Amino acid sequence: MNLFENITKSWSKYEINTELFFLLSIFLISILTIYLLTKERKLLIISIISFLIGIFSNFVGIYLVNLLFKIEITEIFKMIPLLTSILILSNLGILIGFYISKRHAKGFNISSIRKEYYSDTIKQTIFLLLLGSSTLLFLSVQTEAVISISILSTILSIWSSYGISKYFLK
Amino acid sequence: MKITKLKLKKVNTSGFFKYLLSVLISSMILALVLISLPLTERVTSSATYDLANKSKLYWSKEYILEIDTATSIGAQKEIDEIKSILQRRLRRIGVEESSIHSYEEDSITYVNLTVQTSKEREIVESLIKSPFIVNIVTRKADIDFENPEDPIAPYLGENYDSTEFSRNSFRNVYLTQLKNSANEYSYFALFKTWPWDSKWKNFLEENSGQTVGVSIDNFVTPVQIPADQSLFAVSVAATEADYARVVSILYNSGQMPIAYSVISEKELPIDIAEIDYIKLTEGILVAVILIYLYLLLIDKTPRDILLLSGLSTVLTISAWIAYLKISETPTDIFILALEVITLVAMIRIIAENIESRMIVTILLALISSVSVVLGSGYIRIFAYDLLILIILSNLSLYISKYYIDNVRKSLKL
Repeated sequence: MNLFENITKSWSKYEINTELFFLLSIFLISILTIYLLTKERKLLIISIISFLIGIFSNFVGIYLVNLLFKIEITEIFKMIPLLTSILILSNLGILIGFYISKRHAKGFNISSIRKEYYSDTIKQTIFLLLLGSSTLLFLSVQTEAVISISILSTILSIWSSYGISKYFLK
Repeated sequence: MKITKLKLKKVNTSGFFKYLLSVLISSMILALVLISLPLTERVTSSATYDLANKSKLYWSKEYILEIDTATSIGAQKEIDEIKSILQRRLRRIGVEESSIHSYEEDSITYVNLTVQTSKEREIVESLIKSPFIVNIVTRKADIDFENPEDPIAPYLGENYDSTEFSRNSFRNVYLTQLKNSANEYSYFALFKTWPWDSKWKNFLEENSGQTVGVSIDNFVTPVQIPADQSLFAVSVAATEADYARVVSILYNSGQMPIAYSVISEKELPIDIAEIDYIKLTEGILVAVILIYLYLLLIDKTPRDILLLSGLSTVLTISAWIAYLKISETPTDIFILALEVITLVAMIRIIAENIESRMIVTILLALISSVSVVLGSGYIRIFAYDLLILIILSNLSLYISKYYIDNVRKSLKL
């Protein structure tokens, strides 16, 4: 069952609404929780950018996989935004955890968390690339595509957030 | 006489129990790893615990529904409503994949519905094949419902007058077990209105003590309105909980605006991401070993953290797979692969960044909970499992930490 074909042919209002509501809920609940935990607008903006880049990369990834590798886009591909959100949240969680643990320390400066964020992002990138590439040989084509798109979207998202954080975390 | 004083050496019970607990945890880890590894069920014939692959349970079918548009006004809107209600029904029962599209041929509208699921065929088909159009009807004055020569008269829709009440007039239809006239428990559908709805109240008052009917797809179930008008309960022809759930879904997924009938059914080949469980285990093992070698040799991550993270990962994954095997839970192997990959990444993060453990756990648990509630198909299955795994991984972290500390103390390392 081709997902693209289904969407363009005739997704019912119910399907469109529930899918949009689901994605929007994940985004809003994550963002709201991050803000409630940190009360820091700068981290909120980084989180929002991170999510938006992740979701955008998901759609581009799914489109390219379909176009270049002629892989049929089935229902399993609906899991990509969820997997990407989980991986992005793991990365943001480290940043937030570090911020919360240090924010009351003497002489704390928000720019100092950027250094820690950098080392964590490198670690997570290598970790995800190794994890993804080691399992690729043993999975089906569709599962490989789901994992690859999720991991690559996450990496793109977390590095973009790190790049943008230069302007916010100062 | 000299009494020799016996001096009892103080026994270190706490140390002994800690030692005993370490031995027990070692045995538990070993047992879980052995059970979770592929093919170990062949070692002994006394227990069978092979992973139940869900792929054998899947079936796929295409249904063509012909829509009765003869009496409709805004056909397109109504067709979209039919598609929405069918999707809602399938989603609520947990169908993994479905697609619906409509098309027109010779001025007749058809809906093409395709499902691929591991759910029971009979249950899914009863949700698809019945439009389940519910209307409240009253008896026609000129029909003799007591005529012994026409025993089916009380059940025919044509013998009743329609009222202004349909399923849309009710807030909710609640299915529960109540005692029937034979003093035995059976399922009833309780029609619930909004407290401020006076029209329904008036209708009950007007028909108090009389028999009205609930028409479902033109088949009527007679209902006696009690004198105190306290309850409007319709008996349900379901004896098992699974089928009662189907009826509840049919009642509560929306009222079909137009009737339809299934005109053709076709079996389809199953299209799922098949994964070899043995190869997957090999892949995950290779991945974890590679990653931990990298973390140890290149990243120079402290050995303590690697040991804790590695042991927690092994404990969580093996406990989960052992549970799936022992409970014979049918499993989608490709979802298991995604779960394991997510888990390996998550445990590494929460083991290495103690200050972020709570934050990451809260965020991921929230996302999983939202996905369980709002997601459908594979997403719901994955999110539900992940929620359990998040709890299990945190528990494993504490057990692993306790175990490593204890073993270190016992071996004086």
